[in-house]
Amino acid sequence: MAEKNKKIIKIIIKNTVRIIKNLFLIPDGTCRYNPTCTEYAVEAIEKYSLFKAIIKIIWRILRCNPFSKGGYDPNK
Amino acid sequence: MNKNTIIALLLIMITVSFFGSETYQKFYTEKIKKNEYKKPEIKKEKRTKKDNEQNYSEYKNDKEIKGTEEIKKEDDEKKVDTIWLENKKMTIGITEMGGKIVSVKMKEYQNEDTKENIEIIRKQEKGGAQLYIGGISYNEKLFDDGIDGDRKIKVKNKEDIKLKYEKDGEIVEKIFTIEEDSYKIGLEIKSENIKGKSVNVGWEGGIVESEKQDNRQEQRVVHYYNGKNIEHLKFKNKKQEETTGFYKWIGITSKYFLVSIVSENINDADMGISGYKIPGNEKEKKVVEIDYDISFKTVAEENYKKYWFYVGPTKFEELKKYNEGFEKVLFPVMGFGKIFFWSEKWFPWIAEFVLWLLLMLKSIVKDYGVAILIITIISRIVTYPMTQSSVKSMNKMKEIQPKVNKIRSKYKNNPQKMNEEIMKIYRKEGVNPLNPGCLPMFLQMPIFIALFVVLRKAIELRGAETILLPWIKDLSKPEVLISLKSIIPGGIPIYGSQIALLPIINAMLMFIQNKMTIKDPNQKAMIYIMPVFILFIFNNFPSGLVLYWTLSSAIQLFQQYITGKKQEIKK
Repeated sequence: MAEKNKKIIKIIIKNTVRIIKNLFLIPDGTCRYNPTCTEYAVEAIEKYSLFKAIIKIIWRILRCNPFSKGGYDPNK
Repeated sequence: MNKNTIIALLLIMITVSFFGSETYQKFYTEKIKKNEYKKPEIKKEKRTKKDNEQNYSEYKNDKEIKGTEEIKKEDDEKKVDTIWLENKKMTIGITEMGGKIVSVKMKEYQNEDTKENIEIIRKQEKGGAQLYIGGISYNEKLFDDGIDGDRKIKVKNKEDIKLKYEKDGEIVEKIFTIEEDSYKIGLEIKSENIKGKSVNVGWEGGIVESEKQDNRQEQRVVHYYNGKNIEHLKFKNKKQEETTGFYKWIGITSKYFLVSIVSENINDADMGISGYKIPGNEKEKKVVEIDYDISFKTVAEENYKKYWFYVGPTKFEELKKYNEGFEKVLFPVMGFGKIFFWSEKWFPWIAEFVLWLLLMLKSIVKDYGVAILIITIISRIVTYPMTQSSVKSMNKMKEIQPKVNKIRSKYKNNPQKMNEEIMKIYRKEGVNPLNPGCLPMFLQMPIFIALFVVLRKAIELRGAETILLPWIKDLSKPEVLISLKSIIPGGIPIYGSQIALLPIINAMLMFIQNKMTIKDPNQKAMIYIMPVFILFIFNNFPSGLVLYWTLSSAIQLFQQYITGKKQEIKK
């Protein structure tokens, strides 16, 4: 059951991100990191509890700004 | 289209509606808002079926709202005179029956269909400026205006109208003050030999929704302001709500107009608001009207009270003139919007800036459509370096990806080594250091939302036309190219009852863009779903906003295409 829920949440997050990106005309390849924030978000949901994942995602988006180094930053 | 995507979209809709729901908002306001000043106590009563029926029967009676002409006729029979005051901005009718305001008409704003001046008071037989002293109503008592002859007055500079009630030694005086070029109606109340002490001044006539209901959405909101903070309240499924607290002014806004009572009696303004919903008809449960009563109760033992009313448009410049904080009613952040950090503090500033920019450009080019075009170009120029670099790095990523995938499969069983190897590639090829990152893109979002709100709320854009799209009659309303009203009376759910051109163009642009960018086979369905989604959503958006979006995505698509071409040539 939990697995199924997680799967659905994963799909929701993926699609929500897609919709936001399209609506606000954010082009692909904006991200300074690899994996990109989108991929990172999906992975985080898979790996951690929902709460921890959301905190991690917010922290990642905050870091993803012109003053950060960027680069390779996977979920550890 | 795969099953999961459909489920996901459904769930998104459910989530969105949950966050917009009352339960969530209640949970939110209770949990997060701090008690900074005397918070109003809100008493709520749940509605029952019986209430619905009762409200509806009341509404049916109200439906035959008496016009000013009829009131005039009736009053003539009763020997009640009505004084008609006219200044540069409005016409006001004050009746001797209770000394109430029975009519306020805007001279600068006309009804869309009838082209007549807009009447603000919804229930003219109730009117505005009701008075209760010690719980006793003075609204059905006959006042004397002391005027002989002509009761049609053109206001020059300032005009005082004195209405006096006198019986058995009791004297109540209502003095209205109207200025030549203002939406202000002053009211002074003097009393003598009256037992009761508490004075209650109200506005029971409510406010008319001057516009045809777009999106079937109720626009009326109650606002109250304590000199520092403003609160906004929208009644939902309650029969009645009463609010008490100490406030400087309270007001009701429709989409474009504000009626407000301001108390000049310091620290004794105890306000009351009540509202109830009236369903559309017996079968439908849709709401057509909300009635709002607003009033000020004062308990101080004085025989002299001073109030004033603002009855006029929610035009930013106009509201600002009075220095009462009225402009805060224009861009309220309510409900769902509050989950963004302190948005009620900073969002109005952004909206005001966008409004200022729009009006400034309009004064130069004399056309709102062109002004929107200029805003689009400006915002594209500002974000050009950002979008340009991301378009470039997007293409670069595509080149690196196969190498990364190779390493991923090669070091499948050794994650540490895999990370190191991938890191090496990125060091060598590098992520474009000019990449803006995701955060700045999120920061753009409030500006889009501000434009949306400004187009919907700014009265300056009411009926704004443009030479760019001559068939659009109003940039603040959804575009109508072909009306479906005669074919499908109720309209298509979500889509609406009109076919608009711009959303179709927009959907096509998005389809092309998706075709160009989405390569992942798992997301293939999105190529088709997104444009349909956009088509439905945009169909009921203000056409000015859809115009902005169409121009913006066209420019972006063009930019992507050109950059792609250039890189191909380089190779």
